[in-house]
Amino acid sequence: MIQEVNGFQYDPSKCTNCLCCRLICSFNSTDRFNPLKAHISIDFNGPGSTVSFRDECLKCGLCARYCPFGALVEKEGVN
Amino acid sequence: MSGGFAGSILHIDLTERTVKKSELPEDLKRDYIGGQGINTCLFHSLCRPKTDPLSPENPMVIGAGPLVGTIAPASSKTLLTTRSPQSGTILSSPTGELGNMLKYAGYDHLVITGRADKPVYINIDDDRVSILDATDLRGLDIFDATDILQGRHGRCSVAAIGPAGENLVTFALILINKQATWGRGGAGAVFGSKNLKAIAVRGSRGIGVADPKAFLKVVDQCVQEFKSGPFIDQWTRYGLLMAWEAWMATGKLTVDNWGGSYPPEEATRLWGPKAYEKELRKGSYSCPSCPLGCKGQLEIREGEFKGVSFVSSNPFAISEGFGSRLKTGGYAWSAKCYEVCNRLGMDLGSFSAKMEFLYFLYEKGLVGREAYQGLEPGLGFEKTMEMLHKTAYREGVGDVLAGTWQETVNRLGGAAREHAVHIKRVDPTMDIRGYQCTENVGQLTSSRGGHAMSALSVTIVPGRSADALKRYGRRIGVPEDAFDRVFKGIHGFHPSRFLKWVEDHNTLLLSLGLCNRSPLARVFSLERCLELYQAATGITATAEKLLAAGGEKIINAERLYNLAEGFARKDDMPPKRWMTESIIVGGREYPPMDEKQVASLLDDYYDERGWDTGGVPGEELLKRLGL
Repeated sequence: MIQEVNGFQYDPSKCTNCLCCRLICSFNSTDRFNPLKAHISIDFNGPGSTVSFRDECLKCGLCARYCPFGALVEKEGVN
Repeated sequence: MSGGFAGSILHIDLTERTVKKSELPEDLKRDYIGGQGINTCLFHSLCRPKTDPLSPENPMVIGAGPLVGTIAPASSKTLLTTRSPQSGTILSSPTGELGNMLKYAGYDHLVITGRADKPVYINIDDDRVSILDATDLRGLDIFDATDILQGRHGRCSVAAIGPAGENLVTFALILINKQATWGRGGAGAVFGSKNLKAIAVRGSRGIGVADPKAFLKVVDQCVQEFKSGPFIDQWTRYGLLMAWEAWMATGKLTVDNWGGSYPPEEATRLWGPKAYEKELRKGSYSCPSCPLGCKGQLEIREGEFKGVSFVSSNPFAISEGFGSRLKTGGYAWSAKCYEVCNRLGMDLGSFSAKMEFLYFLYEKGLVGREAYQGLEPGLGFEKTMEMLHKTAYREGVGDVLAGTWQETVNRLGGAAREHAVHIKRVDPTMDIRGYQCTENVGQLTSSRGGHAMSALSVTIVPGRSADALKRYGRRIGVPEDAFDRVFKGIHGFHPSRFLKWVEDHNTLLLSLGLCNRSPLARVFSLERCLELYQAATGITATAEKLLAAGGEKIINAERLYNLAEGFARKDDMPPKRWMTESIIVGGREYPPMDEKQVASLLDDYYDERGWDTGGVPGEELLKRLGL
């Protein structure tokens, strides 16, 4: 089911757990790649996956931009 | 600023229970690039001649190249290098997970030697490295052991073996996070011989790159080009099933011990893309940073095993291994066999080939009922489930199948040897009779035995245009002056000459940490590889030097190891059955390979490599490569 969180839409049916959203987020905020350091988190469980954001999220939109599958998109006009 | 590499090698001696960290030498980063390259170098320096693969002396090197852990597309390839108990050759096996966590913990390579005196697992949490008691995990299947370790150590990556690895089945595999495989070659048995049940890794550091702006620019270019490639959506949706029509036309679903192919209409009804979608597929799944997502999230929809779910790195293998060869039925049953095979920790290609082989001998009257040691001879779902357990636990006839091909045919006796289909004791995945491409010819010369891993290109599907083949060749580094000999023949390429360049490029990708599946490999041109390597590491190189160091040199180093262990040209020959019997695919008969044809393929491959007619690298070549 599509989730709307923090100005983003997340569609678990399109998500493949590629971690690109978390990789780019960690790089943007720490200059290093490590998904565990990202402000976005996806609890991957197939169609039951959920997305969450830490308070530190900058709403820069890079996570959506780097999602190769269109699973995460910015909700127009929010960020 | 340097980047890409984590900067350290972790050495663990299980006999002495010591843990040591050393700096990754600068010259290795330049001269062997990373991943498969540095693994091979470390393995050579540690493995003494004539080492028994299942002895404490057989070193196991796990390594991830400079792009692993970054957002470079599909940059998660992690190599395990050891001496294979299945083939006796050097084995470098790639997988799609673990390396990223290993690098986040601070290590590019992990070297494991010795043997623990009781079951253990290794836990790596940054600098905290422990060898812990695994008595409670012994006997557990891979899924259960992984769940326990991820519950115990948090969000870590876990590489584990099942009962087959513990019982030293020669084709035991290792699964990472319950789905990514270190499959054919028997690396799981090497874990088992070391009393090593699992490795759990978690890293809180990160991987930086030397030139972030340049790096992200190349990443963006790669992704854009990847997205514009053909059939990407189908790849994501179906994985290797996307080429179903081509597989049916070329007889990829073999039956009767490589005696024929499964009837295409029936196969399509049982396991084709429509059946896959309706009966099994739940979604797609990616290795870290992969925009392709060719793995499958699967769930059995109907029948006794409804609700059984798992991730498969290759859903096509369900029909290839179980459905077609062992007649286990539609996805409701065949997928269950696949899941159990993974839980027990065996390579399904090798298991299914062995079980099918035994039944073939029985049907032909070449072995009697007694060969089954009390089991009812046959194929099908129930008999396969029974044989899976017998083999993993080495009980009765299962113990006969669990050995190497040499051991199996010796124990079955009689004419068994004549009919065994293997290349250097490893089960091939593609027949070579009929159409020859880099993928199936590459099984003959592969350093790890009958495996197409380093031979994957665009030739597996017949009918590519001459221009498309040349375009691909140019991208992967075939020099213009080689075009006349590499791109000739009725299909527009010379399979064994093109193979040399394909192998070099694929091996470079695995040294860098990049995936070599064709929709990705076509994006990773030699120039792109150089741009990614330089932007990540800050090391200046040239495209030619990169290909030589991370690709050509590694293939030659592997060849030297195998030659020293007694392998020779005779071991690059196809199985006798492929040389003496024809095969019928889709009503058309393909004749056996003849001696002259094979000799020509091998001669040309060796020549393209600069090897002599015995397959031995020449002095001049070794000097140029710095070996």
